Amino acid sequence: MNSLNRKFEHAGKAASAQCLSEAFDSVARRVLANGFNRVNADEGTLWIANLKGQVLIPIFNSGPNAADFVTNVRQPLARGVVSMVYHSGQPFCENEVTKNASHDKTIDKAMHQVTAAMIAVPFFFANHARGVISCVKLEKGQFEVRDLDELQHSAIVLERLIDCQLMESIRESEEE
Amino acid sequence: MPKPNLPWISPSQARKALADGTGKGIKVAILDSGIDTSHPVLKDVPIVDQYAVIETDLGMEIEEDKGGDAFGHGTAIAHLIHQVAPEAELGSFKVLQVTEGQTAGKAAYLQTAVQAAIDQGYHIINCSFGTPARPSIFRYFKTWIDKAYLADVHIVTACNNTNYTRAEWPSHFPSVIAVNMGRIEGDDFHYRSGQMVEFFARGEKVPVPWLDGGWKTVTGSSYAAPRMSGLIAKLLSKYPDLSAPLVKAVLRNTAKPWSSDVAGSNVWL
Repeated sequence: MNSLNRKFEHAGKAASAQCLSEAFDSVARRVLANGFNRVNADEGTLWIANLKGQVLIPIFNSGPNAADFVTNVRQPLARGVVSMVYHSGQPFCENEVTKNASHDKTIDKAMHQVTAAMIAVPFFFANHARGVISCVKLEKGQFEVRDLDELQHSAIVLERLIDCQLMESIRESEEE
Repeated sequence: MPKPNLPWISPSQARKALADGTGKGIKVAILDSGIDTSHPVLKDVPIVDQYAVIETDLGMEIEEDKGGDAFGHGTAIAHLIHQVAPEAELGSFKVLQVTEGQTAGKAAYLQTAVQAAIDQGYHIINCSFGTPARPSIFRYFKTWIDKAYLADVHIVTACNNTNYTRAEWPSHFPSVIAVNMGRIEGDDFHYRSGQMVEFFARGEKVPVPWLDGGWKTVTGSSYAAPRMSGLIAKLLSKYPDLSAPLVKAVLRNTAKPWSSDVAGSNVWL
């Protein structure tokens, strides 16, 4: 691995540890929010895995209780569909959430809501899977595979934006 | 030692093996989230090994897994292989998981599991996962895929669930058998040339066992790949010495031709 790549991956790790902070700017937020709108989601979330690989931390949520969600919700990486997507790298569409006895209800309970359908895609930056982007329909409704593709497009655009930001920060630090 | 040259089998011999084979004498490694052996539908399934890959101070190791299935995914895969090849022996290699203090990347877990499966005489490795094809991780995938190829162990993989032409690993390595989901009933499989993912099997709205004794209906190439693993187990149970490239050629010649009628939701026509 060359020096630039090493710095890039190091920057990616640091950005993960800081839950993206500066790299997740207003343009990135708009990309995500537009992506959620295009799949007609009631709510969408960007999750980042903590460095110890124990939980997914929501760093952006588009729902009415976003502040509460981001502050209080943590998804253990050992269970749930969102965690499975992170580990398998496979986008997933789940339209029978309420019928599924093994659905991890931690978040629904915490947020006093009922998830009817969910889509989730892995989220990469700086060369590695570092989180998941998920969307839900509450109470009723279904997603289609086309929605998964749409969400994956948003994930790719977001990845490129963040990769550019990280590269820019490396360039700036080398100029100093 | 390389195997001696083996005779080709004809498409009609292959079709007969695919119809009559049971998977007897063939071992299929499932690299996934573990298997919940307490699920009632798996009661009679010959699950001969359950391992987890763990990270220790000395590196990656394989240990007996007592943790069951983390997500339900591996349980679904085991059931689907068993449905097609009821006498195939299944082994669980848990790689899609979290371990406390994990520092090694997923590729290290995969390499360890594949090496263990080869060492223990597994004939087929089912990989219902994937990751975008990035140059930075190419060599990690190539290492274990080439090892399996040289050992004549057949790797069967899923592909990208939103667009199957999108480059992913392991599905875009030419030595693997990459499978996409299709609107297909039963054990039929179809071949489409001109793409890295060449085969289509049933993968839409598939009922599968999941956690806590439950079931769910799922869609994805994850559920098409095990069907193909089962079919290869049937073929190998009749012709166990078929090499990996020969199996691929045989499958190409015995598959039904692809048509837009069987295209899954991730094929943009």
